[in-house]
Amino acid sequence: MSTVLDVASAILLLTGCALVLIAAIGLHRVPDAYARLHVATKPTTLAVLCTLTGAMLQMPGLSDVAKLVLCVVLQFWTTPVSSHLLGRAARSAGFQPLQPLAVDEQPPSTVN
Amino acid sequence: MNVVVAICIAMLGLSGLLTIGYLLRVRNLVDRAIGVDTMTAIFMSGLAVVAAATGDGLVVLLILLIGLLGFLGTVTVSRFIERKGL
Repeated sequence: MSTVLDVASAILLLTGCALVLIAAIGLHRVPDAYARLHVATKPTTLAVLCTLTGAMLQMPGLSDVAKLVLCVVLQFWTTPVSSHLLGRAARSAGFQPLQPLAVDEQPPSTVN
Repeated sequence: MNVVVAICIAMLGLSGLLTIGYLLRVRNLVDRAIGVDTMTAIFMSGLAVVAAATGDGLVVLLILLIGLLGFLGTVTVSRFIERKGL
């Protein structure tokens, strides 16, 4: 049982760290601020989920597992909010996407 | 397990170096906030690897704290950009 947990935890930790590395490489390779926002938030959310689940499988007590579940839930609540706010800030600061937007729901008066 | 932890720390260190290079390269506030957000996720993953290696309960509280502080920082910077511009 312990070996199974160790192998699952090792796979999850390696997956999470590889996703973080992919996000860090993608920051350099992507040309647009909005696409960089996508690169910086989506893989890192999945990476934090994977690494925290891998840490959960190694924890001896149930209270630490509960705290790690709380960490995962808070990460999944706060990351979309912060990325949405950053995208709105980039829009109001006048960043132009490389390709024209398919749907533009922001009224023109609020864009500086 | 030790080999896995070493590989994870190596990957996280490489991604930290790449993110620091990105932060030194960009010149506006939005891209810097994006880089700092990535840096927070790297810190959280590194502390999760440390927690898995040692089984220490105190590191779990640090993960919670860093996640909330990173969220607060990103929200504050983006509100500042919306009010005052770049």
